[in-house]
Amino acid sequence: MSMTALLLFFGVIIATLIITYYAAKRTHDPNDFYTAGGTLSAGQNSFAVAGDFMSAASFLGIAGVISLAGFDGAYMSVGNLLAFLYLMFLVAEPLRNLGRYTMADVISSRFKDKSIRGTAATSTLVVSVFYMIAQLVGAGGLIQLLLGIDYAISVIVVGILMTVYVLFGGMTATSWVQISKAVLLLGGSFILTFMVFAKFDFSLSEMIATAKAQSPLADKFMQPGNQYKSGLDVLSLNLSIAFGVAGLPHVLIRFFTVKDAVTARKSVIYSTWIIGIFFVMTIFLGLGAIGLVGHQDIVTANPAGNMATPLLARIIGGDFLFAFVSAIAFATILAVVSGLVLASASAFAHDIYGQIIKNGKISEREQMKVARIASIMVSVISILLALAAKNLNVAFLIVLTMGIAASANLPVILLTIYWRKFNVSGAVIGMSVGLLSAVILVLFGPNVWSPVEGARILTGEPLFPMYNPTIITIPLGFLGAFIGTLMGSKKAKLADDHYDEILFKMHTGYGLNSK
Amino acid sequence: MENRSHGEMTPMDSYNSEHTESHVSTTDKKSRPTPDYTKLVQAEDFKALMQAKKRFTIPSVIAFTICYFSLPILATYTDWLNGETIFGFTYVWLYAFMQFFMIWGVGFLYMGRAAKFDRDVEAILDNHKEEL
Repeated sequence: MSMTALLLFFGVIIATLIITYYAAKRTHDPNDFYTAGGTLSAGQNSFAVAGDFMSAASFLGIAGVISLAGFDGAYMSVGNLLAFLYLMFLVAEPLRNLGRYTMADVISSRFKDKSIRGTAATSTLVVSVFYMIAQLVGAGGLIQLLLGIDYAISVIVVGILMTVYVLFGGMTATSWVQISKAVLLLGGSFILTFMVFAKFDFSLSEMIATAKAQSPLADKFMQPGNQYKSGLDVLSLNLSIAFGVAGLPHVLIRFFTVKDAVTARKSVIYSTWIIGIFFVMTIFLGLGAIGLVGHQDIVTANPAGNMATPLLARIIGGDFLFAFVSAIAFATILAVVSGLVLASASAFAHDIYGQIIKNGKISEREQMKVARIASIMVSVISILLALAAKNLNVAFLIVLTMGIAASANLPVILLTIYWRKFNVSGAVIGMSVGLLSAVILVLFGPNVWSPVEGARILTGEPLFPMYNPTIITIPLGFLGAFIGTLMGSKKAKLADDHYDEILFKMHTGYGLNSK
Repeated sequence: MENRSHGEMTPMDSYNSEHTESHVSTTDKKSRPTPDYTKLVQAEDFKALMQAKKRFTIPSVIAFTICYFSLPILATYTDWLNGETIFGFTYVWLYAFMQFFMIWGVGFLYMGRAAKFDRDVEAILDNHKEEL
């Protein structure tokens, strides 16, 4: 490991701890802890939201897939961006007007029923913890690759840092770490993209011609279909990206950090610009990587292509740029996992403990204590699971969590907000069906099973053929919600349903600041 | 009788306003009667806002959904987008780049429309001041 890399890594750690120190001074009550007091501006929140999307997976992963398979990697970027239109048109503003700390709050603002709060909190926990494990396993592997630090040490260091940010600085620290990293990532990518273009004398034709010459796919490199062969798989992937992202709890709680719906709206719109520009750059980084690094070197370093960008940085900017890109990737991982700790901790402390077990009768002091205990608990469990999963191929966890978010969370949120006849049993059954079907179909699918020994976690023919079952599980989630609504329609007394109230509040923002 | 209840209200009010600032929820709910939301959402002005929002939201969502999903569908089920064009890009890349501009454009449209809705909302809240 080079001295430069080590210094830059310590730089990232120290900078984030300074942020946490100042954030801790501002974190006094549960509202500060969960939502940064609702004080973020549209500009700040747009960088934080963008930061959640510009994960290590997109910074390194998308460029990697593009460098190896050409166009098919680009679905990840455009699909992610499309998710913002759904957030913008359907989710962000009602969410801000109805929710307080968690995704479950939004649904419970209409149905004051413990069963649906419990189901929504469970879904939040499953999605966030699994997502965190996938991120931690990825982080461990990545830091090992980049710096040669042992996997277990990497996971534990990342795990301790994320716990410290959330424990002391709550949402304020999480947001500012995310904002700083987004700026760093955007700047770093810009410098890198500029240098790549300079290598090709700013000729796009030259860049693409070199990419084709270097890729074993040759002329087919620029065409679609190199990664995904089945049309249904492609559609399913796109659905899970576009709808899944709009149902991820750690993204949704970002909209509670601003003061009102107008600010929430602006932050979504600004972030489409930030993320869009970033994704366009990752495309050129992918094309540049295959041309300058070459197929063989990218695959040798990491078969999935995750090392394409760092290797590209080493070729055009030497060890310093390599270390710089690695440090950015490290900061990216830290920022994303701390958001996940916060989302899981709030589901546990606020929904399950505060609202369900304690019936909402809980002092602010106690809320803070429970939230902090929950943060530690969630972190420790995730770290242990990530350590145990060292040698497993955890790509399926991402498919699983996006599937749950798209098939369980988003349908129920949409129906709660927009369907008058929807009721508690519809919400509980819809969410359970979406969650279970996403979990079961992934567990019985080719992400987990392979006839080739050692290729996946289990050896054998997969019972279900699709890598990504979202095209089936989203309709199942909606179907469950409809059937549940029909089943519960007799029982649903008008008194339990606050639809008129939430309808008025979500469109006017009435009562937002007196809540 | 009248006087006494009037005299009690002032300290009550100041107690409430002090409390809402730092403490939120419980006191606020008790002090103010809940507005009749059913009546509010059935008011003509609110219904008009709902109609206007629907007329904008539903066609937009359908349009951008079709616009986006035509990309993976055309890319996998046809070879229409495989031909080469400028700089060595195939049409599928241009179509994908176009999606970026589509998304930014739709965001711009939304911002303008939402600003109009904000003014409608202000008017609604103003019209129903008494009931809220």
